[in-house]
Amino acid sequence: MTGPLRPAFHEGQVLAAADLSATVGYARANAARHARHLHEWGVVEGLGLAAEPRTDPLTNVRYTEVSVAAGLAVDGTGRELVVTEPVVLRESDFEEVNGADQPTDEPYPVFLTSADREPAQRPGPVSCSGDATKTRVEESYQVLFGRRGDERLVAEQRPPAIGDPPADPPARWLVLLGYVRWTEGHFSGVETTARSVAVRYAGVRADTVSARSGALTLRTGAEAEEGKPALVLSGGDTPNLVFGLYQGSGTVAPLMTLAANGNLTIEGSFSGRMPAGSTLVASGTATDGMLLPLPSGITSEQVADGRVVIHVQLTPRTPPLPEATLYSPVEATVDGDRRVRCRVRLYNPLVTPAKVVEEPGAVDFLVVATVAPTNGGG
Amino acid sequence: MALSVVYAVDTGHVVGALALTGTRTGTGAPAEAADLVGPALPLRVSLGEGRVATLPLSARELAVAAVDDEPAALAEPLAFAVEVTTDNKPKPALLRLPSWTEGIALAADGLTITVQIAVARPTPVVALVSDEQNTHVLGGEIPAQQTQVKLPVTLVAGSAHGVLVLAAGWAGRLERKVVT
Repeated sequence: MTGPLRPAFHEGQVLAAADLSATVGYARANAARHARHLHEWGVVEGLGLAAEPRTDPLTNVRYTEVSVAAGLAVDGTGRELVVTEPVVLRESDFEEVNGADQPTDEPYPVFLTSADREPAQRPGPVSCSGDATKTRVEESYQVLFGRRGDERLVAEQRPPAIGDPPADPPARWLVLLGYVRWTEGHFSGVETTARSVAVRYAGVRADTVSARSGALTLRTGAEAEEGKPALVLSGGDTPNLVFGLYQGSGTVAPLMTLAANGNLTIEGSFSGRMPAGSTLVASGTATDGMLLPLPSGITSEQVADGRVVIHVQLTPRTPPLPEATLYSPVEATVDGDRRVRCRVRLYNPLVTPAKVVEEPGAVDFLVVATVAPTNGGG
Repeated sequence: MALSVVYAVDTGHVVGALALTGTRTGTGAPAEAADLVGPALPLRVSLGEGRVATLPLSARELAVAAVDDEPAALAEPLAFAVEVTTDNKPKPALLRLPSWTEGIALAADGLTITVQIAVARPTPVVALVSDEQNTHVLGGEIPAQQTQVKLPVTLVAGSAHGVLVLAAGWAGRLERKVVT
């Protein structure tokens, strides 16, 4: 195997068509290897499926028109697929593939693949020899309908060898654009995901990503959109890492900030595994029948599986008493569900007839949670 | 201290209260009553001779409100009620309810509830009556301009029962009653 051959020229050389083709081929192969090895293949821009309700002007029959938006994809061989204007999908093409199917709610995959075509118009003068051989190839595309389940083929495609140029048709690489629904002989809608297989978008392969402005931003959409999340790594005088949401002004309102000195600031609450030996406390007052709360950050599951041990201290709370009334707690305990059981007896000798009254009571509580040591924790 | 109360949705009565140290007043109330009481809030009444009747109020019939500090609600929750706004949100201030004595009569064919003053609107009433291992849940209303309602229930004459009466606008009553 040889490496890529770069055409070289010298004065007086007679240029043959092969020399010029090699020049173009060398550049194409370079670009393809870049796309293939420094990026993940998929949809780069546009190419979304859209469903629009339409009415046939002749018959007044309502139907759904499905189209592919203009856009760009790069396939797994490194070849660009350029759709320059929206393409309306033909129901007859769908029927050729899936027309014999029983009615189903399951969507069908739609793929984009490369196709070479001869341009409609000859560019420039023909050769002096009068040879009719074509001098341009239109790098075109083809929209294909798949059968249900064919979306799995996308993941099974294998890229060309490491040094190969982009694969030209008839070698076929399928880029999944989405799915169409088919109802009573017509398109009825579109989907981006079906059977756990979604449209695949282009990505990058990089072990290092560096910013020139001093700040590196990761966000979930092509544009900064109010309310959407972003992760911003900033350098400068106060380096930090910020996770937050975009505001209308385009700035990111921090929800979590990690400063260069290691300080972590969060706007919300924190929950997570506590180190062994940690102690957390909750205290207050609860009436009979209520469940005692766990300290913030401790869950019932942690208590149930023994990761956290709970200690409870109760003190019966003396109620406001009328003059001369005697008071005695009867019960002040907590059961296995941390439910308070508190009853008190009251006796007022000045009331006629004097009698003992038993009532629900309240307790002052202290709940201490200690995190037990574990093999993997701490 | 932040005070959270659990109240009966139908009548507004506070049936349980929890005050937490170190949190701001009016904040931090759990969204669901079940977070504070589990599937049901067991209210207990002594029947004498060591017997205790349990009257479980289902968490489905309860709601939670974060309210202004009111120490008396921890000592006597049934003496308070939660008022709701026109959009059904609980008001932060608890309403102190008038107490009443007498007016609860348990017979073999029903529970008769008599309040002291008639009001212009019907008064919703919820009552729980213990019966050995079972609990009778009774519901009804005192008609407008009247003071009494009888909620039918079949009981054994002479038997002792735990009774919870929640009549809207009046302090809740939790006590032992003998069928007469």
